[in-house]
Amino acid sequence: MIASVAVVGQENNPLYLQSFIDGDDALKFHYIVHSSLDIIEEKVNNPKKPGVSLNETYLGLLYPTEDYRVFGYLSNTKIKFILVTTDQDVRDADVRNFFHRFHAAYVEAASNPFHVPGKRITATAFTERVTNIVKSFGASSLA
Amino acid sequence: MEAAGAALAHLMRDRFSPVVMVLSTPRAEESCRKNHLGFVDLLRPFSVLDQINVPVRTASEQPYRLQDFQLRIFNASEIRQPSPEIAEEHLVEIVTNSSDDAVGALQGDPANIEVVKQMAESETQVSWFQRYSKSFMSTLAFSEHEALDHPVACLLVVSSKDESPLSQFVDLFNGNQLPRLLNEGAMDPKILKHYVLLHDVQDGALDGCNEILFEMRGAFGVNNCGVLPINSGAPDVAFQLDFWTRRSSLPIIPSSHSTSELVCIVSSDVQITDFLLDVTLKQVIPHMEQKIRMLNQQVSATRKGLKNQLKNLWWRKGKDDTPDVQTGPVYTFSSMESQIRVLADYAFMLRDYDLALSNYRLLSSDYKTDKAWKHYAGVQEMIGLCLFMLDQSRREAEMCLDTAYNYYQKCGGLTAKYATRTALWLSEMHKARGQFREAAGVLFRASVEELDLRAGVLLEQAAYCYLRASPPMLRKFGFHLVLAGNRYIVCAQHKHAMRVYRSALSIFEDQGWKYISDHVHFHLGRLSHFLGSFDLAILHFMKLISCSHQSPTNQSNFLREFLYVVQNTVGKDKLLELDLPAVKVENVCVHFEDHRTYASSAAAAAPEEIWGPVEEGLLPAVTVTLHTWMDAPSKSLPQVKDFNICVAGEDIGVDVEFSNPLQIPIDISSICLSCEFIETAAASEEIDSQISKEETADISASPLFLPQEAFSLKPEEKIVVRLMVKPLKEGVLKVVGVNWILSGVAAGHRDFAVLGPRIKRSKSGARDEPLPHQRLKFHVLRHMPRLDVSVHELPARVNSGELHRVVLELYNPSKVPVKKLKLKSSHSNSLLVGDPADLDMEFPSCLEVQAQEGQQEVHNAESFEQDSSPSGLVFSFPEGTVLEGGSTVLWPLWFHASHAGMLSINTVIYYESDGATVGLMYRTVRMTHTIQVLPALCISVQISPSPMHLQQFFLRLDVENQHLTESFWLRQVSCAGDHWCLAPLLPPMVEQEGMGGTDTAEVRAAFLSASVCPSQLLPPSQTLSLFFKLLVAQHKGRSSSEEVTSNIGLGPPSSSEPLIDISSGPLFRFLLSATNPMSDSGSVDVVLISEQQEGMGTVQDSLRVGAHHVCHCSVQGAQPFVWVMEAPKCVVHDFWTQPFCEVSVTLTIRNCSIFAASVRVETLDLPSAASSQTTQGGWTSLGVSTPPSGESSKAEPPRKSTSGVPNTEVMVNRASCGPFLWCNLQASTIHTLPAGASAKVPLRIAFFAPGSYDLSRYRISWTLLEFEPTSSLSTAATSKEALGTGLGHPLLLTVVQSIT
Repeated sequence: MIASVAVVGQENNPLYLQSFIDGDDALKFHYIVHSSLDIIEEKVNNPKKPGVSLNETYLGLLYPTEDYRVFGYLSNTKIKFILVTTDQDVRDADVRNFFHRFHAAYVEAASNPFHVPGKRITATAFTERVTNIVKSFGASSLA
Repeated sequence: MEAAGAALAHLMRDRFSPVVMVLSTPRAEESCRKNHLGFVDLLRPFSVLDQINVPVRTASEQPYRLQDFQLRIFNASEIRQPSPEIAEEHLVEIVTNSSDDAVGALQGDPANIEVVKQMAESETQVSWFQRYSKSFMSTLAFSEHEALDHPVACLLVVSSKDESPLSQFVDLFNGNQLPRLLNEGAMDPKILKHYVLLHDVQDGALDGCNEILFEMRGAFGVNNCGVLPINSGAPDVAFQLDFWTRRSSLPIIPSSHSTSELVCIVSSDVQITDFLLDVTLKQVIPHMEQKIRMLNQQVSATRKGLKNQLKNLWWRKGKDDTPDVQTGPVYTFSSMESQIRVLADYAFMLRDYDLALSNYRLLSSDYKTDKAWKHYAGVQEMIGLCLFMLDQSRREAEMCLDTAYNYYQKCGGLTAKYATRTALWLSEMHKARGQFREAAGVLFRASVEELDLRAGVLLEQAAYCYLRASPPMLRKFGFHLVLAGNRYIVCAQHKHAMRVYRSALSIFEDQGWKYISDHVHFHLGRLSHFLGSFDLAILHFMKLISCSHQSPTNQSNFLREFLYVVQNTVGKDKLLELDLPAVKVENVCVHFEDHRTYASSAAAAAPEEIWGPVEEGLLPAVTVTLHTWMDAPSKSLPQVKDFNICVAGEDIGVDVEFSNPLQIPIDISSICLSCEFIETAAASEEIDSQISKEETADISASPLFLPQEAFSLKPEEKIVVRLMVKPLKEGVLKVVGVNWILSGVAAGHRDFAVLGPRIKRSKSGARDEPLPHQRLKFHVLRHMPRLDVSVHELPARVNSGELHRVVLELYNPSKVPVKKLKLKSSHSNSLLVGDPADLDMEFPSCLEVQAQEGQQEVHNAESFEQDSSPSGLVFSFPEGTVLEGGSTVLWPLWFHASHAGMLSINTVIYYESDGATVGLMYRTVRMTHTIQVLPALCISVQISPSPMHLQQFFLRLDVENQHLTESFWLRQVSCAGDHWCLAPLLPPMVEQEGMGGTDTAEVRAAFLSASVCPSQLLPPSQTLSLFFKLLVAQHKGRSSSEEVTSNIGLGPPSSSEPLIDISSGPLFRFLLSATNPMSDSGSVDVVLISEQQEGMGTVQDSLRVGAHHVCHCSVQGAQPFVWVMEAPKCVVHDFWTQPFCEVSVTLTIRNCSIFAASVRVETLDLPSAASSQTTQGGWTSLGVSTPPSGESSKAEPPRKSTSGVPNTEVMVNRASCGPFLWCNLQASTIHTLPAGASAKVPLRIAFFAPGSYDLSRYRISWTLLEFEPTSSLSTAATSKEALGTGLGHPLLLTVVQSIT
């Protein structure tokens, strides 16, 4: 199950953060997402396999915390997408698929003429779409 | 890294040095107590032997040397594990006490990340964490599962004062003060014993001891005995104190004694050093060496070799049946496993790591098979350390420590603490190798399983590891600090929490992660409050209260918390730079009045530009120094004008925008401006207080009056408030900012930050002076009266053309009189200043023709003309007009709107003060009024010249009502000026009387009106045409009553409504302003006066009078020339006596154009064909034109009124006209005929027969002279006008044969 998703901007400023766990304070996810930026930076700055990861937007598992696993995805415009799940074993393909759809949703939200680049995404349409993607992620992993 | 590794190795050697147990008699202790130290404490500083060179041999006879060595000396009572509670208490105390050290270690502000990094990198053994770590490890010492802390030797100390020292020695070791480890059999009781005789030199010379020593040697062996004299040194307080506190390590178990009051008489340290050196070198090390060798042989015999291994394997298998106890089997000192462990540990302590490692490895497999997990983990731990010391196989070392950690953890309970110890070693190893990320990971993992406080300490260290990693992982650093801070808070370690949160803050602040930074700020605020630094607490909470992104619950929580802190600490006394409510500090608008005052807020809101043209000519000229490029550049920098002028006692308003960013309502009260006021001490008033004093807003005694506002802001509301300040004295006032009280608790303050527009040219980024409405500095001048001006009776909506009388009221509230009043309006043709007498009269009737009109009016009119000429219609009130203090003056104004649309009239009144002691020379009042003018009547005039008379024109007046709803009564038509008069176009029946005009009969006038205007009421969107005859007025010789003819009433025949006078009064002046005074007399100004009844009522007051002007109507017709031939109607001639009749006629030509012209008159001869037919005479069959012969005087009107029909007759006439000859030159030319002038051309005609002749056989052609040079751009149309030709008008002349 997805605990939280986040979009982080070029300046490492949060653009969107949504937690999907009821009654859990969002602050924790803020901390988790924020800390995971360190790993993303590290992965970007010294890629282990240069040939492969140069063109790869999916960054894979960033780090496992006690309860969550954090995955990352970096767009060409240095927008970071972060996924926090409670599942201990997630299929890589599922995560990739999720990120592609998440990225597409973000691109559409950013194409909105009323969206200011670098500011928080407040559009409800984006939230709805992300919620759908998150729900379908749970479904596909169960199937 | 090498240095770090060596340091860690050194640390390990220190930690794992041999333990020496001390058993002493009470008397021996007593001797030491003189120095406030125990015997152990006395020895401890000397236990580090660093300048030695001891040859040692390994078990395999390899020689090596020990350069330094160390002993750990403990009392026997201390050689036991403290209970977990005591240990924890002790550790808590360490943490608590070190909070200040921790802050001190940071050389700077913990919020600065560089400072933190520096601190983390310069971490030494004396840092508080290392102290904590050491203490933590020492609480875990003396465990039964490892032999490292087992005493290697035992010092038995007996004082020389003791009775029978020998028996005391025996008793000491047999007593029950031996450690538990020994008693329980985990340790070999056969340890090395050294017998020490303690001698207090103060009690006597050393000689007395020799005897006892001798006995001792006899009893215990020569080498095992020694004597230690103490208290021989001279008291040197400073040295001793420093020496001991520095070198004495903290006791493991808190002991009661304190070293603070050292009044010591100690032996010289040389004696103790020698003593310990002797013990170490001669006793301890050889003993250990020997024991290693012995044990190694034993182990080799039993465990080495294939046979032993197989045997061991078989034997172990047999033990598989034993139940799996949690703690594993108990190994006594005599068991093989313990023996190996002792061997390995001794080897480790003597730094023979190879031997230690091989034995640890041997042992680990045994323990593993036995499932003695604690022992196994302990051995694994040591393997890891050995590998580190040998600097071999890092990977394996880490794995071993990891295994140890896991197994310790698996045992649970108190054993889990050993896991933490292992983690500490592992992290230190990682750190020593520069693997900070791994170190952080280890520490973090350890923290998860640990208690709160230790977890906090570990997390903080993990955070520092992330910081030291390369590249630094700042976010993780921050995150772990926050976690640590959280643990610290749980354990009430507020200072530590404060420190780590402050370090973390720099990571999170201003990065956009508001939720996180809010969280940190919140905790910092609470901690600061708890620790009593209220300013800091308030500072942090202030960052929180304007959190618009948080949920309303959080917002109100933060706000409540903030208010609570403020209320309990500073209260309202301290002004805080609050962000709640949000104030737009850079966008304020100042409302003030210097010499410019405003009658209404609308006037104040009007842009400054519109007043410039209005004030032109009204204000005294300002001398402006002009600089040209030739002037030398002025030396002084252009002085930035950053202040405004205002007057004492008058309000200054500052518009400030407040907004509530929160989703909860907030209450704000006591909002007022904060100002600085520097009073310029007036020389007359206060001589001694010439030093300018600065005062803040204090209402009671201050020279400022600051009214306070209060309001409450709804969620996300934004309002603009005008805050006032009233300086009561002269000086310099500076509006600094705004103060308020939030929710009745917290006093907030913001400074205004108004910046001028940036100067584009300058590169330095300097700013231009701020715009006037943003200058916050005021020069307060002395009191100057300020007039209150209002305009009454000015309607907001009028119809175009309406005339209104409005009243201007001037009130002087001051005590100083005001003089030299002047007024100027932007629309001088719409707003006129009236005569004071106008006020007394009834409005519409005052316009009517007055009986006694005459000189006065004329005089008035002249005076206005004088006024208007120099400076654009400035009206100066009469010289004597002085407005005393508190008095009011009413003055009439006339308003007349000629054009439809929105009319905004800006009026400025200028005045000067009468008193000498005022701040300003003059002041002005600005008023603005916006009036909607609706389209009403639209009139147009068409004038065509009369073909009969040069002085007569026909005037057609088209009136269209363009108003949508209202209808108008047409009252009067007038033409202005004395050049023209207007006459109704009369029907022919009463023509003979109408021409007279002067002798008026009532009946005829009624008939006139009826005929001129059939319907006086003009409903909406209807059109009416009126026809008039326009006459050139006769010469001035006539009386003024003649001018009445220029007014024609349109009322019903029976109406006795007086005519309205347009030659004087406001109507005249409006007309005057509408016309160009320079206009020539050739044009006509026509005025139509209409009226409207307000509503259905017939009250006279509500009558609305409108005047519509049409000016400069040119009288020029289609052609620029008018000509009339004057000839007698009838000539009687006797053709019998005289064959031809010669008649002289005059052709008058008038130039109606504005140009001079040359005119050529040609008389035309008959065409030859016609002349042959006219031999029979002048009489031809003129069917229609015969009547004129009888009624000559009736000739003009019909032709004029029915111009179309007779023309054809004339044509017929002309064709059949009898012959006549022109007897003059065929063409005559007038070379220059000036504009408006007329010329007469005399002509002569000869008739040969009686008859009626049409004298139209002439032609006039003209050339406009001045037209040509100017008409370079002239088009074809204009050039056509320049040249023109006209045929003569038909004129019949009858020649009759005289009957004689």
